[in-house]
Amino acid sequence: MAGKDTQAEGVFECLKCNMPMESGKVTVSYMGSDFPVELLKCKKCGFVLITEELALGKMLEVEKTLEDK
Amino acid sequence: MHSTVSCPLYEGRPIRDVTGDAIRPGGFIITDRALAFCSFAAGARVLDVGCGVGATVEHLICNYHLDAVGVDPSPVLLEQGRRRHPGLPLVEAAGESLPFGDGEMDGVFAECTLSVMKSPDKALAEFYRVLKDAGWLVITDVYARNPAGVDELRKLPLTGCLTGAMSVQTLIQKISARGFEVVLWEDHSRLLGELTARLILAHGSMAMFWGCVSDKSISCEEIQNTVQKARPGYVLVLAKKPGSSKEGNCRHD
Repeated sequence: MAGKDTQAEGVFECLKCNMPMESGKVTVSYMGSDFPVELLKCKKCGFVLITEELALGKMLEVEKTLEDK
Repeated sequence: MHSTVSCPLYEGRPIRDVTGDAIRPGGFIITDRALAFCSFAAGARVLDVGCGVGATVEHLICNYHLDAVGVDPSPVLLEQGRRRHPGLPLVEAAGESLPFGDGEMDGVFAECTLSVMKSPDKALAEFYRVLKDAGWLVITDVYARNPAGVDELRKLPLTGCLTGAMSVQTLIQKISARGFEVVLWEDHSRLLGELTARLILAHGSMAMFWGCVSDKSISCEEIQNTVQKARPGYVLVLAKKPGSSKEGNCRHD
């Protein structure tokens, strides 16, 4: 995780750049496959925020699918 | 097609927003793999059964210079195809009753469509009839890697390839029983996994995707459990109508 929660709920800023994180297209690579997804990222340094909810939710389900579990 | 729900899975936006116009795992990846194997001459007459909006017909004409035609029983998809590409040869017909003469085709493609047909056996007989001697049959489809889960899949309130999935052994038996020589089958389950991953990312989870496409008569979790039990995979089968020198059978996993 590269961001910290600030101001209103769901608004994050980059810990490194102190810039507000914005939603944008990111390509996630996993086990040789690329997936374009919409994630919060820092416009300045490009760090991407993956929240716990996201990591333990659909990204975990994607991993299990690709690992054929 | 099954009649349990009004809108077939392949006609709806929840899946087509993810697959694009090819409406199947892998898009043209396995189509191209099959074409490399079959080596059709330019101008060869080929038929795409279950052509949907005609994406594969367009691919075969524009990129392989084949004399391709598509059939589909869905007026909705055909109309979208005609709007997308006026002049594309798309005909309204079911795979079980093809409007072509005997021995007219050099190749027949049925990509992720045999499993949505009312009678795969009748369709295979039609494929055989319209093919020339030594013509190629290219089938790609969802299959059940756990055949014990097939009966439960059939009962799901969905209209799509999953509910018609069979084991690969059953699929090959059906193709062989119609007189075809099965030349090759390859497992491409990885492509189905990638499509599933894209559906999860687009909809939040597979359970949520099932919620978008089912008639709500059973829970999304129940659908997901039934699907997981059958362990769906994806397969390419290449078969030949007899009439040329025999080639050795092979299997690639």
